[in-house]
Amino acid sequence: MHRWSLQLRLILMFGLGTLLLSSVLGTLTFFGVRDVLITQQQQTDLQQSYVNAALIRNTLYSAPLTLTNEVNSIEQSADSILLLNIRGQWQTLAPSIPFIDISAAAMRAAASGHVSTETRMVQSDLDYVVGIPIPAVQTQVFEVWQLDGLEHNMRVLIFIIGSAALFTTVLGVSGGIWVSRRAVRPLVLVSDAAARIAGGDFATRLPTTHAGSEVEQLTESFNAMVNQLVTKLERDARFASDVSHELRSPLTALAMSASILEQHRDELAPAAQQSLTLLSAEIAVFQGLVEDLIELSRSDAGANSLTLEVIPIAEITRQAVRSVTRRLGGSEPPVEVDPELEHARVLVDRRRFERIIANLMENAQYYAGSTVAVRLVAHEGRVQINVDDRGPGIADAEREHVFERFYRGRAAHDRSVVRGTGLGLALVREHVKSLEGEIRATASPEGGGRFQIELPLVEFPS
Amino acid sequence: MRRLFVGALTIVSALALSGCSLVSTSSAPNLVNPNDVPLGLLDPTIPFTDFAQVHFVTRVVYMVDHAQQLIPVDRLMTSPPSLTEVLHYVALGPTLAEQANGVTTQVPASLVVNEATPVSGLVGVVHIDVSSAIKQLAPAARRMAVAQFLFSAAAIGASNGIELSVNQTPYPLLLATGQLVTIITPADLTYLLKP
Repeated sequence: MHRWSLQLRLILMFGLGTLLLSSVLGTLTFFGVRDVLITQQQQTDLQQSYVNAALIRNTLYSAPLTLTNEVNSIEQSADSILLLNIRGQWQTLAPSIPFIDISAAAMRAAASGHVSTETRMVQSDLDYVVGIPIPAVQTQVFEVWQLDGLEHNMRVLIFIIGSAALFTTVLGVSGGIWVSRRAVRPLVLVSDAAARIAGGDFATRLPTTHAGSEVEQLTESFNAMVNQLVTKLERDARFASDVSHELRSPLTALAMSASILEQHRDELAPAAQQSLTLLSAEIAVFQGLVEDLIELSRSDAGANSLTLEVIPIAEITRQAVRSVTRRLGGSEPPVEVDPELEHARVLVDRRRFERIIANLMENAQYYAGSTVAVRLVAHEGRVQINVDDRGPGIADAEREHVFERFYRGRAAHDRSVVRGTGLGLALVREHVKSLEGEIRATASPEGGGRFQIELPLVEFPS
Repeated sequence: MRRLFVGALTIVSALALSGCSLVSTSSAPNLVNPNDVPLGLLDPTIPFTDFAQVHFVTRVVYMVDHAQQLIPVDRLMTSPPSLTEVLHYVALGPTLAEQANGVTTQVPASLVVNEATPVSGLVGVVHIDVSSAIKQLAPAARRMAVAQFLFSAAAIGASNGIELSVNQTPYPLLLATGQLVTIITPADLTYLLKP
């Protein structure tokens, strides 16, 4: 399930919280103000209608012939429309007055002697109708007030409240961004530091901040944890280094003794000869293991100094392949070089580079028959060195693990193969990393395994 | 989080909906308590008078139909109607509904009835003084306008005719026969009535 980031959730919570709050306050404000405005407007209109009805009554009593003028005068000053119903007959007082339908309920109310008010929507106009019966002059006065102005005021009010809510929400989101940044920053720092430590940078520590006691405690705990971890790693590396060094001298003595015995092999009984062969092989493996352990310990401790040179990649690769082939025996695999890489140069430590090629070719020799080819390919300003073998290839699940120390893959369990130290590929990875390169295990086009090293080019002739 | 979101959405929706009907309309008229109605509007008589009331009666006045003949139409007038009030309604002309049915008038809209009084010594004859707008009419139209006043006045008792003046100057009427008369009787213009 997709999870939003903590920072985004904080921002959304702040934004929605302020939106909710401003909406509730805005709604309450709107309804409160609306009620006040409507009540005031309708009260004013009702009172004015009473006055106008009294004027009409007096006119009908004292000067009925001036009724038309009186009604026109009222309409102009009050901005309303007056309708008179005299003894059940609607009086059309001026031709310009549009026909306005008074509801049957309002007419019934007037007929029964009740003053009534009605707010209604006719087409798109909002009206407030006041119906006043005047029994003394046998007349019912209906005054129609337009509430469009009130409607307009409501829309203005809505706009203002909406704008305020929007502004408040924007402020809330801004506050959320500010707070979330402050809250998440320590986590980001911890995450980055953990990633750097996982990448091998054990000097990484969290800076001490004054972002609050919780963050300070987290920083202190994290740094203490890293210190403990580094101390333990250093102790382990030192232990492995010490053990390796301690084993080296007796192993050398054993190897020399075995060598002397080899010189007198013919004088030994057949069973003793067989034992000597086994002993010599095991001593060789043991020596290789100790040498690899010492080198790894140095690498872990950062004690392996680099002697960097700018060297043509094609040339050093050919030399390394030739040298390893001479040592391992067998036929020399071809070195296929992209024409554009023929004079390209890399910044490498010659000894480490040769060790990388040697370990990969030995690995191919032990577990895949032999190396098919070593191919140099240009790739996005870098060089890819592909060491391809003729073996069964490396299973997808094992490709990441083969570089781990003492990892034993499927091929290593085959009793027919020569036993390696289990540290060769781990050393290769350490060396490649020290040369700022990358290594990965893939499949070769011929179907076997491929170890692909990618190194930066320092000089790439165009 | 989801609940907060739903809550905010509900509030915003409610606001949007409330914006659709800013002023709520009434499903039925609201009745005002009679005790709250001021100025004695609901009283059966007019306040500060001697229990006065105004009643209305229906009387006829005469207009012109599409065949240029006089026809009677009803008008509601305060009771008892005065001659001036009747002539006033003649001068107002036909209502919108009557106009829609083809009813017209020959009395100019600018004509003003200045005075309407009984003529002393002549029973059933009234003197009507009007503004000079009547002079601008053609003779036939003038006879029709005078006939409107004549028969409308006759309907409330001036059955023996009218004496016409314009701004207090006697104004004899030239009949269709060529005769000039000072007192116009119903008999002089009966031929204009719709049979």
